[in-house]
Amino acid sequence: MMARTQLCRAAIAGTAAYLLAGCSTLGIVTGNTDATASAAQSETTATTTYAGGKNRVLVSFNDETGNGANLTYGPSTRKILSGATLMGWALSEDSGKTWSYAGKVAAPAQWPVLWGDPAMTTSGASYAVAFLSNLAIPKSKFPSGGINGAVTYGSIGAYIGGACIARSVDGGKSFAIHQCFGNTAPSTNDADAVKGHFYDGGSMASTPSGEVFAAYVDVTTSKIDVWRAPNHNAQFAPIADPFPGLVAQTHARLRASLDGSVYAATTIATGGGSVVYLNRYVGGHWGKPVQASEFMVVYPAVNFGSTVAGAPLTVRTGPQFSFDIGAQSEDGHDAIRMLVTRRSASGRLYVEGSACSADLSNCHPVPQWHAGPSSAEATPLDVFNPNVAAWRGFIGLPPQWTSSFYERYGSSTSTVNLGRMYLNYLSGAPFAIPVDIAKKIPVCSDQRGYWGDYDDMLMVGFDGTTPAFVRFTGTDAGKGCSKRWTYVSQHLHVQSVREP
Amino acid sequence: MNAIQLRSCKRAALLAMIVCVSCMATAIFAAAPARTEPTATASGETTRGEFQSRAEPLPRMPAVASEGGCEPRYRNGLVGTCINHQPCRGFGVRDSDGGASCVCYVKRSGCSADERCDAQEGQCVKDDESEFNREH
Repeated sequence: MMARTQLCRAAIAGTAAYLLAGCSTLGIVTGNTDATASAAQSETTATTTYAGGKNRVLVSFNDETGNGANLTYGPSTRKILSGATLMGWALSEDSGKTWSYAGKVAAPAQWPVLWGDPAMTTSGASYAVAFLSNLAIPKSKFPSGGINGAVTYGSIGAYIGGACIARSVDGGKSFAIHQCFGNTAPSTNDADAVKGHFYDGGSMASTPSGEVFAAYVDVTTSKIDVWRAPNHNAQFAPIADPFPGLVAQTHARLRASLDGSVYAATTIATGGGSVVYLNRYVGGHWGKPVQASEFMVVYPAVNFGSTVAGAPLTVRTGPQFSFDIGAQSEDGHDAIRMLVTRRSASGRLYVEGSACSADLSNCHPVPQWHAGPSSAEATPLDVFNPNVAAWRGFIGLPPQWTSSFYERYGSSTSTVNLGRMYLNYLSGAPFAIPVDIAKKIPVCSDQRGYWGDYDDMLMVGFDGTTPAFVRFTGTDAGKGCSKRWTYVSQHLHVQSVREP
Repeated sequence: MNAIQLRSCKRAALLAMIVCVSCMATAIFAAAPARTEPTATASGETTRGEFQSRAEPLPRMPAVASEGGCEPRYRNGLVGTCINHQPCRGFGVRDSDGGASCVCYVKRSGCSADERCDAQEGQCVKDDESEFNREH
C-alpha cells in the first residue's frame, strides 16, 4: 500500500509537471553571428514595448562589445579609459524567439564611463517610451590616467558616482542619454562622496500614468536611493527613503502596480540575520516598511567543485530575492509573491516563498513554494538566483504566477540547470513543483566568480491564449569556456529560455 | 541537445501521467502538501502563518570617521577603518550612548581576522575568497 501511495504521489507530481510544463525554446541573444561574439555580455534586464505597429522585447546587459582600447584586459589586469560603455541592448520582434543586437549608448562627456548593472522599464503611459539605466563614473571622480583594476578603493570609496538613464521614444530601436545623476551629500565615511555616492545595482518601474522610478543601493550610506520622474518626459529627482533608519545590504527591486502604487524591496540587516523588507509608495508617500521574508542569504558564492580553463569554478551571485505583483488567490493576502534564497542546516541553498497583501498589511511565509534539496544527500545541491513573474489574467484567461532559478547538480560540475516553478495552489493549499526548462548550461565565470550577477524574467506576449515568459541566462553560445582571467571570461554571452 | 533532453523529460512525465490514471482520485488530495490554514484576526480578516522569526532591524547609526592610522589592509588592496584606535574590519558607527563602535552590517564588532567587510556585498566575506572586488 505504501509503495502504491508513493508511486501514485510520484505519478501525480509527474502529471502535474507534465501539465505545467510548456515547450521551452532557447534563443541566442548575443555571441552568435554578430559583433558581440568576440566580447562578453552578461547580467540582464528586460522590458517590452509597442511602437510603429511592432511589439518588441528589449533586453540590456553588461555589454563589452566594441569598447576597443577603452576597455582592455590582461590575465590579471583591466584598464578602463574614458569612453568605455557597457550600455548595450538587443531586441526581439517575434516575442522572444529570435534576437538581434541593437547597439550601445555612448558615454556622455561629464560621465565618461557607463558601467553596467542595467535596469529597464517602459512608460505605463506610452509603450513606445522605454528607459535604460546604467551605473556611471562622473568626470569628477575619473582618474586622468584611467582606472587600473577595480573601480573601488579605500574602505568604501568607488569611482562609480551615480547613474545615467537613457530613453527611447521609438520602442527601443534607439536610445539616447536622458539624464545622469547622483547623490553628492557629504559623508563621514568617504571624502569623495561629494563627487557622487557609490551607487550599485539598479531597478526601474513605471506606473500606468507614466511616472518613472529608478532605485539604487547607495553603498556609501547603506540606503536605497529612489529617483522619480513625474512623467516620461520629465527629469528624475530623489524622493524619500523607503526604508528610513534601516540598513540596506543589497540592490533594490522595484515593481509598479496597475493601481499606481510602486513597491520597493531590499535586503535589510537585522539582529538575527538578513530579511527582505517591502514598502509601498502611494499618493506621493511611502508607507511603513514591513518584513516580507524569512531569514535569507546575502550574495552567496557557489562553489562548483570543478576546475574550468585552469581555475576553480565559482559563481558569485546578485540579490537573492525577487517579487512581482499580480492576481491574488481567493483567500487573498498574496497579490505580492516572492522567492528568496535560504541556506539549510547542511549548507545547501534553496529558494522558498512568501506572500503579502497588496496593502502590505499581511505578509506571511509560504514554505510550500520551495525548490531545493530536501536533505544533505538530495539533488539538486544548490538552488539560487530566483526570479518571480506574474501575469494578471484577462477575461476568460486565468492569471499566471511563475518563477525560475538556477540549480547546481552534482558535487563536481561545470554547468547549471534552469528550473521553473509556478507559485500556485491546489485545493486551496500552496502548491509548487519545480521543473527543469533548460539543462546543462555551461558556466564560464571569471576568476572573481562573475558570470552576470542577475538575470531578468518577464512575460513577453501570448502563444494563442497561453502567456509566454522569457528568462535570460548566461551561455557560451556553443563556443566553450576557453579563458577565465581575473576580470573577464570567454565565452560569455546571453541566451533566452522561452516558455512555451 | 537541450531540445532532446526536454523531450526526454516530457516522455517521463507522460509515463507518470499514465501511471497516475490508475490511482484513486482520493490520492490527489493525499498528495497535497499540508495547508497553512488561515486564522481569524480580531478584525475578522484572515491571515496566514507568521514568519518563524520576527526580525528586529538594526538601526542605521551615524557614521564615525576612521582616524588614528590603524586601518587593517585587506588582501584585495582595500582597507578597513580605525575606530577607537583599534583596527576595525567594518565601519565606525555612533552608539546610542555616544561612543563609537565597529560594525559590519549584521555583525557587531566587525568581521573576524580572516574576513573583510565588503560594503558592496553588505556583509563579511572571507578575505581570501577573492583577491578582487565584486564590481563588474
